[in-house]
Amino acid sequence: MDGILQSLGVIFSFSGLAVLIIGALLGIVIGALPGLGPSIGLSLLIPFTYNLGPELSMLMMISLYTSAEYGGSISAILLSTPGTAAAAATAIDGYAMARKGKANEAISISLTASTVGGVFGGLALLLLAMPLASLALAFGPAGYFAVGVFGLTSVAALSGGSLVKGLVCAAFGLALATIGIDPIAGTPRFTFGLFELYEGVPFLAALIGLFAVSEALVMIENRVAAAPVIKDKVGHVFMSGALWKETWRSMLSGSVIGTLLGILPGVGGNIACWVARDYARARDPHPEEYGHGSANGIAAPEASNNATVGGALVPLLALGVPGSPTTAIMVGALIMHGLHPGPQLFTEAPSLVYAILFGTIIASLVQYAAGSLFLPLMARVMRLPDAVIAVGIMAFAVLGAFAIRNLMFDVYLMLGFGVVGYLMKKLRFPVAPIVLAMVLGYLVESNYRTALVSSQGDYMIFITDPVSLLFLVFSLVSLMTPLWRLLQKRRVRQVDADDTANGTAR
Amino acid sequence: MTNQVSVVPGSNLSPAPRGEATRKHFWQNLFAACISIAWNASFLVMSLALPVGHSRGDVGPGALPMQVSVFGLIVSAVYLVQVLRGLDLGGSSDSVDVPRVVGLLGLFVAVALSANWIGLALSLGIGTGVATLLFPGEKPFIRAIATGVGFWAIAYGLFGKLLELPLP
Repeated sequence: MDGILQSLGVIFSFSGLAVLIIGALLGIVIGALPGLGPSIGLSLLIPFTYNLGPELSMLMMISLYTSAEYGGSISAILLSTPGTAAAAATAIDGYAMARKGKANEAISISLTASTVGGVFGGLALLLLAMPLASLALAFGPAGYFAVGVFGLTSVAALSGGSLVKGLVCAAFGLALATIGIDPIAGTPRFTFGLFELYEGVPFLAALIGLFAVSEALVMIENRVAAAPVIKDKVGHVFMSGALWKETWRSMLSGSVIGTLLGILPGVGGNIACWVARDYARARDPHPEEYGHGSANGIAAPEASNNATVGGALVPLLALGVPGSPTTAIMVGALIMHGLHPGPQLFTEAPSLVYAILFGTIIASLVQYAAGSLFLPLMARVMRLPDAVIAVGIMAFAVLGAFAIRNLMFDVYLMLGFGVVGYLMKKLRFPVAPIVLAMVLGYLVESNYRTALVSSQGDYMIFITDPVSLLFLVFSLVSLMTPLWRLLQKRRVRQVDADDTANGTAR
Repeated sequence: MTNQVSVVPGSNLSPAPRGEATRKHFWQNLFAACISIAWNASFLVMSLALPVGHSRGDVGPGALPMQVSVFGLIVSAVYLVQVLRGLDLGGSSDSVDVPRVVGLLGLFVAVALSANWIGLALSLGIGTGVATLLFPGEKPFIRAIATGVGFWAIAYGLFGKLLELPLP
């Protein structure tokens, strides 16, 4: 009870509300700028939240994360260019509606649906995280090792088109995670005598380089001409009663879909938005309106991508396993404050946990207020020249990398990771598996070795421990599913090719 | 090389539209596969040099790095085989805009190097101002000065004074 009161005290203090509002405004701007997203925004923000303390720092990050998911829809509606991948589905009906002169209406639906989805996801987090964490407290090291392995299998879902490239990146990330003093014996590994590497590769420097600097380098290259910008004046964003009546079902279904998919490792708003749109379309009495400016075609994906925020925080808080690059970055922030996410956090820092639980809901409401009041300003921000955005990213990346440990070494390392990230983007390698593997590397290794020490070197402990066995089976299923789907696709295409060949022969 | 594209029936990877782009992708991916194998091989060699564990049952500090590098070698080998089989693994068809990319990176390396002499805030202001000149657009010099002054003010005022970041 003390934890709840303390957390509410922090949230409703002047500083609490200030960080929530700042986070929301930054999130909307970052989400609205095409090419940037919550991952880049958080990676640039984290170093500067160090002085705020864990509660305020997490509140700011959650607010940014939630609002960036909504912000992506502004450019999707006005420019037909989704600001984030999760707003891709919104661009179809949002831009179509805007071209009919209803940009204001499209944004009002998007903002309301995002808020509904965010609150729904937050409530689900509030209800699910604690019971799951109580269960997880009973896990032994073998169980935790298996949970970490399960988290790593989300690489399969984060790999984009190529599973093998995702696995190459995961191996690279795990290798990076082993640099530094080893967690059991205290032996320095792969440090080459550099004391800066004794604590390991600074995760945040790697993160800023891989996500932010690489994006700035991509940005400096030529831009493709985009769809015509909608120049409607954007004013009020309050949804009419008739629109509420028309869209509430899609908002609800989108919220449920988003929350459930958000909980799954590796599945985020970019998948949830399409699933929610397809579901709403299948249930809609007027499916022919989709693609031509349907209000439900905006409400469903927007509710779902914001609901994934609460969903994605469930495994992070309950098990300590991030299921997405954005939540992996939040793990980095907790580590920066000397905390390790997982069920023990409920006993070690209850006020922080409750601040996250309630903060997720409040952040959605703050996003609504900030989104309504500052929308005309946000629409102007999108007109910022690429030069200023890219250079701004680089400048904040330098300051952020330096702020981590006040070492210029981290700045050089960050620039190095920026080059690696840029080359990876050019070669279509997914960056997310590296980040996930770097975060989970410590959890996996420390528990793997502790489990083996407790079993005196007997590897059977990973099979005899029921929790470990369960999660290893889950991991196998998680890894095998994309392979199975690939084989199915191949079989279907083979049959089609054979049919075509037979038809030609006849 | 073009006849190697997507020869495997039912590949989930779309064939490239142009032979030129595909040939480029082949070399890009071949290079990446070789780098990946070299990285994992060197990591394996370094892992084998690490001491064994002292406690009973402890596999030692080198165990996981060794297992990770073996795993990395296996997946890199699979990647190499896929590249050699002509599976289109994707890549960039556009050439790298070397002057701009290297220019931007070089500028910020220079910013980091000069920070100890003239201070990070000033070097960042100069660096960002010059960096905007790498982008096309109207009134480049006014934009450069405005950006430079703006970022100097942010670095010095917001980060140096307000957030008390001990900038060099």
